[in-house]
Amino acid sequence: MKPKNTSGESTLLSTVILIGVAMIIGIGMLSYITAVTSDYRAQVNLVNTLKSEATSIFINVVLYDNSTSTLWLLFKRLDGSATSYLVIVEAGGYYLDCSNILFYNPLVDSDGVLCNEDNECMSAYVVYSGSMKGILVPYGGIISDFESYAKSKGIALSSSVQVCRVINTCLLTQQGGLCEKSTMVRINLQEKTTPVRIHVAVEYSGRIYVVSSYEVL
Amino acid sequence: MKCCNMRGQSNILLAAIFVAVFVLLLVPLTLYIYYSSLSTPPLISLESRVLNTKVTRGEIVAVYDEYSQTILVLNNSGSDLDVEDLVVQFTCSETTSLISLGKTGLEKTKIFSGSSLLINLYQALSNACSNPQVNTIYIITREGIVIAARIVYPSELSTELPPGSPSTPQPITSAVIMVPVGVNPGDNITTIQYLLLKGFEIYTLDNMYQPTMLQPYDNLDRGMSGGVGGRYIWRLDKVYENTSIKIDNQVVRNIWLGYDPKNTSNYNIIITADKITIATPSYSKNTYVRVKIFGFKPLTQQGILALSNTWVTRPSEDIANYTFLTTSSTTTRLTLNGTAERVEIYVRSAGEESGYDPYIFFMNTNGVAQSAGIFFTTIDRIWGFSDSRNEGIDVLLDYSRSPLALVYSSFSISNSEYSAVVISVNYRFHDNEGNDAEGTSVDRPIFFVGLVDENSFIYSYRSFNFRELTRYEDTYPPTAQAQSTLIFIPLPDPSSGVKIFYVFIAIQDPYSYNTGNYLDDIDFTLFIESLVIIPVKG
Repeated sequence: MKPKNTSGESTLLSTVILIGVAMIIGIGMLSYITAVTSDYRAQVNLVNTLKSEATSIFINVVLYDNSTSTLWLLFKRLDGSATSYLVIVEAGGYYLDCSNILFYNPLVDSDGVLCNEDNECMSAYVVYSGSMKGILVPYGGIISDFESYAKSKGIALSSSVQVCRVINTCLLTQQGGLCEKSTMVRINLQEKTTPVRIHVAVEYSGRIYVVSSYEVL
Repeated sequence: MKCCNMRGQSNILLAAIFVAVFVLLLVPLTLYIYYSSLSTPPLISLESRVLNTKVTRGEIVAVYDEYSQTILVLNNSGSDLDVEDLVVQFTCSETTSLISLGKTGLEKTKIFSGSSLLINLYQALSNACSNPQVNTIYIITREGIVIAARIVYPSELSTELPPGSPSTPQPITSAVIMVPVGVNPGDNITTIQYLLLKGFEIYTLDNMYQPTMLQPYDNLDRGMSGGVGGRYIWRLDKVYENTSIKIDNQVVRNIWLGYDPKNTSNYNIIITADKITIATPSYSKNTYVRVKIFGFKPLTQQGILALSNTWVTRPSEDIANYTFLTTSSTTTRLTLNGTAERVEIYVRSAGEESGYDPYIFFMNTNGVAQSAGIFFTTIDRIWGFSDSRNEGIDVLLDYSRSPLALVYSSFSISNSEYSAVVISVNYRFHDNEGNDAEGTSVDRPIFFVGLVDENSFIYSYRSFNFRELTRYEDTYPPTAQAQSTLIFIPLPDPSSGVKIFYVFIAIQDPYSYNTGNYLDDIDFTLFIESLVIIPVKG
């Protein structure tokens, strides 16, 4: 009877061990795949956001007035949303402070003349001020930082840059509905200087990504 | 033992199969998923885009006339152009600024392919300074496209003679069109205040017969009166907006029919009648009425309106064509059915004075879009003779108490720049005096055209008197021939002082009834088709 008992116990034991091992491997596998897929999903969301922002923001030049070193731009969202714009402006090798980027508020304008009344043209708000490394850029298939991107593209480097929020005209003038209006933006340049680069950025999960760049030659 | 050894071996075999299945299926599957997709998520790459400072489209052309301060936008692009804004860069005493016209009703303006739009910048620019120099104009479309307009200067329009010509006459600079007045689709042309937005200022004359200066027009609700003895006026009784309108077989005295300059597939109509019943909107009045219909769109296939079963299919350039429809021997009944942007019904009522709105009408008879002639009529009923009452009844005689003087202030003429001014006027006139000049005891001016200086003193003018005008019309059968005049006014030499002049036109009905006989009871129709200023360089 004894040997029979021993063999039965070992069978039971090996079965338990096998099931245990299978479960450990299974759970490990499951948690690994879950982690990998959620990471993947986060990256897909990021890429989608950057893609849609890159394609839905459109900038056009209205006029570049050499005499007053003023650049008037037209910002437009093609997706009809009233989200504001984030920009980094570089002119003649220097990055402009947000105080030099003004957006026009038609509600305050009583005579049609742009920027001649109080609060008619307000400075853009600072959303980030600091190192270029703190700004990310999807470039060359990876997420790089703005400083590395600037180095590779021959764009000016600076120890500190400001990311500025330009309020969408639709937020000021329109209540709900699809936004069709363009936002008039005035950029005060320090001197007669070209090219002027306008880098359009997006805020995602607390990080700032540059999604497109415009160059005024 | 044999059986138990066998069982142990089968357990090992089972475990081996289990591990083999696990390794052969799950591990490659996991690796496949990992390497095929997860390791390389799709990433966009930032791209630089280059913008030119001059973004133009050749097929959309905008021309700015600095004299009349109007911009003409021609859309030959093949698709409709949605204008979102118009931005003007200008200089005021060496300061450069920008002005946006987006808030002035221009927003959501559509310029259809193949058509043009005339935009007057005078009002917007007058907010900036008195003499702005326009540098550049940008049209911003709804798609965000920026179109730079070309600015035309007078020197570009002047013609140069080939070298070697025996003499070089001074070139005439560009013609400035005062009338027809530009009309935008959003304009309200139902009142004379519309002219204030088109570069005009409204004044009156100090004297109806020998004016020497212009005076402010204090109250636009005054200026016209009527009747003999007691005063009668046209009082606005009812206004319908965006309404259906249906008139069935109503006896009418006169109709003036023109194109609606806002949309020339519609019509502007004035109807006068001794009484009227309108089917839709329901309205009935058993006294003299004037009905002004703006933006009439007929629903009838046969034509615009029917006069005793004869359909009228287009406005006549002879503005008197549909006057005196009902006489002692003929009765004409009007039928029309359609929609209208606005219907104003005036009734004859006892009252001291009215403004010019019941008498003035903006329309054209040639179907040119966005241009309005100035139409004025005091005729309400029927003609008469020197021995009878012209309207047939006292209460319908109309006359001016203050002339309506329109100054085109958006074009200033300086004697330092020009030596003379030529003013061209095209007009039509029709009166209700069967004996023409013999129906008057005195010859009085119907309208004046001339120059006024910056201090409101009239420098020079040409008056158009009744006895002259009545020679070129026939009261009945009604005919108003096209008449035209060129007025040449030399400017004073700048050595006597630099002065600024403006062109004005003053309109009035100077004839109130002469008691004791049947003379001077004239009512008339005047249509200013065009008034063009041609400054001459000296």
